[in-house]
Formats: sequence, structure tokens, C-alpha cells
Amino acid sequence: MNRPHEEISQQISLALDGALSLEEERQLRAHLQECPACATLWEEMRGVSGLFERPPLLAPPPLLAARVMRRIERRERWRAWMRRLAVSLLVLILLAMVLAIPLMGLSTLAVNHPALSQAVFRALVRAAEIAQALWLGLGILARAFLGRGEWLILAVWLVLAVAAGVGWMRLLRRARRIVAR
Amino acid sequence: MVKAQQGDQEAFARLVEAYQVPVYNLAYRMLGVATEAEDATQETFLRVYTRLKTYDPSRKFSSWILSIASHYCVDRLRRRRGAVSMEEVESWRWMADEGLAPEDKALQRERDRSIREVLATLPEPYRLVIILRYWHNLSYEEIAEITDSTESAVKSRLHRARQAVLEGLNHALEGQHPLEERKEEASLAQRGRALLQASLRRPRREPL
Repeated sequence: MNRPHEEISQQISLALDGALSLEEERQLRAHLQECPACATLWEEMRGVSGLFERPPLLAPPPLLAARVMRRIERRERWRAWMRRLAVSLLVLILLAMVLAIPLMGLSTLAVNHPALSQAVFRALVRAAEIAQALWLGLGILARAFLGRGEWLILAVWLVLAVAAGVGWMRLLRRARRIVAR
Repeated sequence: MVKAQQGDQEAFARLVEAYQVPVYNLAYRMLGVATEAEDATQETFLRVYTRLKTYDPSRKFSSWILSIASHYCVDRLRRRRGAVSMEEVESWRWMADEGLAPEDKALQRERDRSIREVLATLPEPYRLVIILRYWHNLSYEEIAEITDSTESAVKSRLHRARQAVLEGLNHALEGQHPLEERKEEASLAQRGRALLQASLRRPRREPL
């Protein structure tokens, strides 16, 4: 009875977990027999413990494990894709570096031989003209078959722009999710 | 386990199957909402998957998983803004209990409701030790490992948690609960009293 109430309360908690030694248990029992306040506390604490004993277990949703595995598969696919992208970028950079060495030689060649550089420039202009002609031809074809060529081109452009925008947003979101992890 | 660590997805799927019940129930009791518990369980297993290579085999695997789950739930509770509405769980979702007659299902739902209400009033660290002690039947040592604390801290936290539950029930019984004016709270008081009495009547495992 001389022991402070708080200490008994702690002992009761330990007793509920079966964590007292035989001697400690005997002492506690003796104290409970002579202290009605602590005996009441013991009954109440037993009640609290009883509230949680053999608690109801909830069954997980039936597809939970499958959903987890699906997310993991998606994640793995994404990682594999990123790995491939990184490898391709590396290869591209290496290729560019390898190509840059002869190009450096080429630039001095172009300075020394202006006729050569003019020929290259003319070839590029011709290629651009061909591309333009192809594009115009496409427009004429579209107009001929559908009557409203400009609208079709505009629509194709819009679809392409939206697809690019959506793709970019998704890429950003995934990147952010990975960074957050 | 070793196969899963080497990236075998089938082996990992078996791990998910084996540990989904303890993880899901920990999340459900921590968060109090079944739908949130599902999300938390998925996130826990994703974290387990990404950290599998850092798992130290000298640790108990279940403790490691439960530690990830409890950290995630505590984080989630901290991020949570505002009160969440409790939803009832359909009775078929309760796991079979060999000591439970079919007609007791309604009682079990009622008991779940009371437990949820009591747990919701507890601060997170107290809630966590109560769940690990009673739902997962873990020792002080294991609880200490999961919660990154010491055995003596776990002992005192469990003690304080029990005291807090008792105080909460006493408040409800005495009608001092701040929300007592509301009807549901009166029923909490009644349930608290009934539960306390019912559990007192039940035979104990460790008679003193």
C-alpha cells in the first residue's frame, strides 16, 4: 500500500502481458488483496485488455495481391524502358563524339575549299525544297480526296500536338513519382 | 525470400500472399478505414519490393515488413487533413474465427465499431503498440524492433496506452465526453460500459 499508485499501474500492465516474474506476481497479488483502489484498477485494466483480446481480423480484398503484382510489373516495365532510353542516349552521345572527330577535319576542309562547302549548302537547300514539295503534294492530294485539305492538315497537327503534350505530361508525372520514391 | 530478393516476381507474389493479412489489418487498425487500408497495403508492398535488396536476413522478415507498414501508416496519418468518415465493413469480410458462431457476426461488427472508436481516440504511438501487441501478438522485443525503440519504452507506451483507453472509457461512462451531447456518443458510452463488463466477465488466460 506504501508503493506509489503509478508503479502498481505499470506492474498491472506488465502482468497483463505475462511479463512479471513469479516473485513480482506474488508481490502484486499481495498488494491487490490489501489495496481496494489498486484492485479496482486491476479489474478495469483487465477489462481494457479484454477489449482487444482475440480481436476481429479483416480479410483483405480478394484482388489485393494481384493489384500489388500488377503495379510492380508496370513499374518494372517502366524501369526497363528507362534503362533502354539511357543506353540509347549514351550510344547516341558516343556516336556523336566519334563523328565529331572527322567533322572537325571537315570544317577546316570547308574553309580551305569554299566550292565544296557551297555544294553542301546547295544540297541541303535542295533537300528542304523536296520536303516542301512533298508537303504541298500531300495537301493537294488531301484536298482532292476530301475537299477540305487545310482542315485535315490542321486536324492531323492538332492530334499530333495533343499526343505529344499528353505524352510529355505522363513522362513528367512518372518521373516525379520515381523521384518521390 | 532469397528468390524474391533475386528479382523473382513469382516468389514475391507468394510473399505478398503470405503477409497481406497482417499488413492489411495493421493498416486498417491504424487508419480506421478499409479503403485506405487497401491503398496503404499496396504501397507497403511496393516499398518492400524496392527495398528488398537492403533487407538484412538477421532480422525477422515479418518484423521488417510490419516496420515498413507502420512507418507508412504513421506518415499517412500525419499527412491526413480533416476527419475521415468511418464506413461499415460488410460482415462477409471478417475472417473466420473458430470460436465464433455465425449469429455472432453482428456482435463482431459491433465490437469492431467500438474498437475503431477507441483506437481513433488514441495518439498514433499508443495505437501502434496496442495493434502490434494484440493483433499481431508480438513480444516487447519485436514491438521495439518494429517501432525503432527500446523494450522499456514499449512497456511504458503500452501501459500509457491502456491508461488512455481506460480514461477514455471512463469519460464516456461519466458523460464527460466533449461530444456527449451527440446521440452516437451516448451509444459509445453504453457500448464502452457493456464491453468493459463483458470483457470482465470473460475468463482470463492469466488469472492472478
